[in-house]
Amino acid sequence: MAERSTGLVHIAGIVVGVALVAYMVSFGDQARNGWTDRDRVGACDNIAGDTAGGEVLAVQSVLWAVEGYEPVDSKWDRGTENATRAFQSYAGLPADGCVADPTWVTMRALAVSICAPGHDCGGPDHRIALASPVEPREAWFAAADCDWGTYVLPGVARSPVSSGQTYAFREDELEPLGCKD
Amino acid sequence: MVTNLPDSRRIDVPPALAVGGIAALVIVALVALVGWISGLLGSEEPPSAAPDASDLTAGTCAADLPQPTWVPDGVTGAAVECPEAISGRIGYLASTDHIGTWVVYSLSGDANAEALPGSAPETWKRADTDGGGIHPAASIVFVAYPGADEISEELHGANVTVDSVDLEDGPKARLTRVDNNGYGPVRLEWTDDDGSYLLLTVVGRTPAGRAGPTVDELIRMASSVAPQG
Repeated sequence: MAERSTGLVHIAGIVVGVALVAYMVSFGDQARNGWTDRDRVGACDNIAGDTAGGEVLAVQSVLWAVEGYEPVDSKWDRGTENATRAFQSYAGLPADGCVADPTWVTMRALAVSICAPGHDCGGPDHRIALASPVEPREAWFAAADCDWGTYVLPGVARSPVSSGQTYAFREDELEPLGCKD
Repeated sequence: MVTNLPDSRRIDVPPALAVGGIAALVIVALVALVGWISGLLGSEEPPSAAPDASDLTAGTCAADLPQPTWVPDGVTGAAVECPEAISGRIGYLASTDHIGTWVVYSLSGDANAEALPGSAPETWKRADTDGGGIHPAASIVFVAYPGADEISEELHGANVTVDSVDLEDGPKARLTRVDNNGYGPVRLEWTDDDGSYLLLTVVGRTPAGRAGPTVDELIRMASSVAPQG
């Protein structure tokens, strides 16, 4: 009888464990899709945000599409901070120059799937493109299983960023998007 | 007894004057008749119907797609991007079969106009950046994915609200708001028998007032989407 009870407890533990892992994986997908798992970028009060790399490149790409910000070079500077503050103010956020979750999510909500949801068109699959009376401005992104990437068009990319390359949303580093097994 | 009658005085009208008077009367009568008839004809015309917003995409690749037949009054025009053009922008998309067609509607009004300084961002004034004085043009983006039956993955975040709204005589749509004190992006996504659709706008904060359409206007646009062709 005692052995049977012990077995049931083991099975219950396994079920709970599997459910917990499934929930964590699901939560991770939601966070990655909503850009809420990103690092803080820019002029953050007490904890310094990233000031270079793939996540700065992603922010600058959004700012290019929305406000014509340039250069898109993956390096945070005074101009990036000003453009971030302007974006935050227009979108109803506190203008503090710090790209934390609320700003990341606001930027993510502007990205529209290029390909029909549920299909793969084989390239960058999300785009931000608003109306512009002067020149078309747009930002392109790719969502891989492991991460998101930024594809910067020729004419917009500035050194050390290369056009035609999709860079992962990594902190500090500027790395091509790729999932490691 | 003799009754004296007053003299009857005869007025002699020159014939030329009489002819002229008659002619004038005829002309006035004709003018009045023509006016009366044209008035009658005008009153028989049907009342003018509200313009069909799908006329904005006439002659483009979006002409035969399901699209809004109603847009807010402030919409001044629409720019259409076809799947082939979008694919061409990036150069190496494998297939255009499932790429959506974009219709970007522009809006009139000071708050909806693009306000960019035209100078390097590091020189932008703090009062402008923090006061909402630097911003893009407000627009409404409509994307149609023909033959698709899914909508995008749901967004999550502390400032995100997701609701289901009923479209008029149609399916339910998912309304996603990034609610930053009443401002921020608004997405409306739904599917029907013909495809999958998205409407996107930003309710912006500017010194000239709120930019972009209202959420109710976005829902009315979605409700007006009808098959074309």
